[in-house]
Amino acid sequence: MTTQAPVETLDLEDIQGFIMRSYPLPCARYVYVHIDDKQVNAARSTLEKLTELVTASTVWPDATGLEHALNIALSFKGLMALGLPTSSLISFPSAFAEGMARRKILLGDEGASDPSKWDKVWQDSNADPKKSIHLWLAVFAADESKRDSYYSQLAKLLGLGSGMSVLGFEDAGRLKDPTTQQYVNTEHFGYRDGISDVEFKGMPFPHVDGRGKLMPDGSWVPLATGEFLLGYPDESPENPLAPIPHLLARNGTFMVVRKLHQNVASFRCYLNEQSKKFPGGKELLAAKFVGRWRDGTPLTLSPDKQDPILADDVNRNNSFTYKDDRDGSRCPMGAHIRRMNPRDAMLFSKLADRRRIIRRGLTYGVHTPEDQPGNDTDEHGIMFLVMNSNFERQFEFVQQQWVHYGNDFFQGDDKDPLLGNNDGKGKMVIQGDSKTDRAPHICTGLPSFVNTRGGDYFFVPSLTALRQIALGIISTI
Amino acid sequence: MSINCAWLSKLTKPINLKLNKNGQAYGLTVLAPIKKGHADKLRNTLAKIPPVDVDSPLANIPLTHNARFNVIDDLPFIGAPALYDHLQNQYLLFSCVFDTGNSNASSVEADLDAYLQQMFAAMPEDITKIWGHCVDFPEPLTLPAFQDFVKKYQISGGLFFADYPDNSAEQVRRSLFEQKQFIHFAIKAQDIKGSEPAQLKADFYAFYKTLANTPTPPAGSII
Repeated sequence: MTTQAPVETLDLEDIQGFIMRSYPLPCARYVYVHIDDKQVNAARSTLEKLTELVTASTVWPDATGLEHALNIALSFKGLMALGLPTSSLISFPSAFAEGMARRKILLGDEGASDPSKWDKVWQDSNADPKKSIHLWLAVFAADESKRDSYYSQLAKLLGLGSGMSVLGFEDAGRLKDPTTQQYVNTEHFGYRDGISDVEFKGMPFPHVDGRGKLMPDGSWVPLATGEFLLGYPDESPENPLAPIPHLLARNGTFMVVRKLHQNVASFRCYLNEQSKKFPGGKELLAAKFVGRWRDGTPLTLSPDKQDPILADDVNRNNSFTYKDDRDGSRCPMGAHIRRMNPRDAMLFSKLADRRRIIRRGLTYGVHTPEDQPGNDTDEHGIMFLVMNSNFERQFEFVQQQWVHYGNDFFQGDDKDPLLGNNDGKGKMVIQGDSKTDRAPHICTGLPSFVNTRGGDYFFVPSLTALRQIALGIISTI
Repeated sequence: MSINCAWLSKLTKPINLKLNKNGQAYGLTVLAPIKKGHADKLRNTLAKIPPVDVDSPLANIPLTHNARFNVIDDLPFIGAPALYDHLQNQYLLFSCVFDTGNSNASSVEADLDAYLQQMFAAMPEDITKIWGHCVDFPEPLTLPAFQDFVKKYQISGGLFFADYPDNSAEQVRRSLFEQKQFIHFAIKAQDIKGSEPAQLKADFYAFYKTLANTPTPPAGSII
């Protein structure tokens, strides 16, 4: 017997594949499905068929040759519709049971982001029991035609007699240049995305510095598995709160789905106007918002220029601390990446270890080339996914304290310049540099560059749990 | 009537008044036993008192940094093999940090007297509405009787953390106000292109002079 029990291997065949990493598949379709609770047997049998198609983590480490993938998540109402016993339902965390819309004050979903302004499919889901989104299907594919043909296969499974109906879907994927039809490597605001993956114990990938947690000796080690998967010790170290029975929870996680509309014209216009006042110019200003140059180069490592070789090097582009940037002269104290993952910015990196989240995003809508002003009204944004084992401790804390407040970073009530609900009144201080005599610059009148257009909280079960739900054998007795 | 839980009584008498001070800040902790059957009425009274901002009666006591009332029902059971430890009463906790820096008090006890005097002057009706639900509350209420009542149920702070041990509430409020005003000035100054150092200096002096003549926002206001 030992007091040290590191989880070194995970049951990859039981864990849904998209938890580990984004597939190397550029196209996605997110499908919103309603379950008819009067046809629960049919719905369970459909779920069983879908489960057979679910992509597990055994595709990793490379996912080579993968042409399409399917993953599944269930809302609290979905679990109810599938007939989970009350004794199990009431063991789920209250935040999950309540759903995202009712957490709006915590999340800063006010004004244009208020649930009353969300897309119809999400508004209906909150208001009309006959239109509740119960099941979230994610189809990933190598290209649009493979996505369409794979989806049409699934659509047959969801047809008449399946006990399920499709309420709507949303396509997402990497952006393309409208003229050349070649993929571009950025999201709508022109930043390279998807650099910061987390690393936890048991992941089927080689170790990369900068993704896990920072140790006192300056080394990086994987985070505890239980921060992201239920049924394993977390950083405390205790098993995270999880529903019963144990097999329902183990190897599962909780997921936030958030449709974030991006106000492309507002962003570009603000950047142009503000950079006239900012001595470093437009690209440096864009970099200061995020803490990375738009090509992904971290400001902390390269404060004066983009560094394409560094930006492309996965072993270096995320491997940094704020030890030599305490005053924010390189990466501002209130920059986006310093808020989302403060590393050692608050001196005790252990504080950040309990607030880490898996972040995934795929863009939707048409790319506006950088030389055009763009507009705010078209459908374009990011389908944002977060995975964590505890909504309240992880996602909601980050959203409330770090996105919509700045006190932990000595930034008063300043919000995240990109994600904050700034509403034209936002402010961000770009710290100066006493060594070069560069004065601080204050950005004022920040609008909301991003608005929430929908979303909810979901449970991502293991394959074992999906099968047991499908068989109707979940029992706490 | 006295505090009747074994471990709690160790904090009661004799009070080590030095434990209650951190810098110039005083940490007052009062555990007053609630009359039998009064806890629900007391909770109702407290629920109706504005908790924050300028409407709180506690904002009218200039020395207050922060203060709260809390009804304590019992000790939680912390699991076997713990001993069961119960309170024989429900208690009203009053926990408060106040300034002593500006007082001319000659001792730690005199600091408390001075604060209670301000409290008595600022919210006499609320004192009766709240502590009237507690055992031994003096009637009729006089200042010396109120001071004696609070001291009777005061306990030592033990580990007293003060956010601002060396600055008065007034100084903190003033500093936050000046910081905010200075940010406005800095934004304005940054928007004037090519401003000469001499002009900037003159603008700053003008700003500073105006600021010095602007009163601090009232206690309890969100700055």
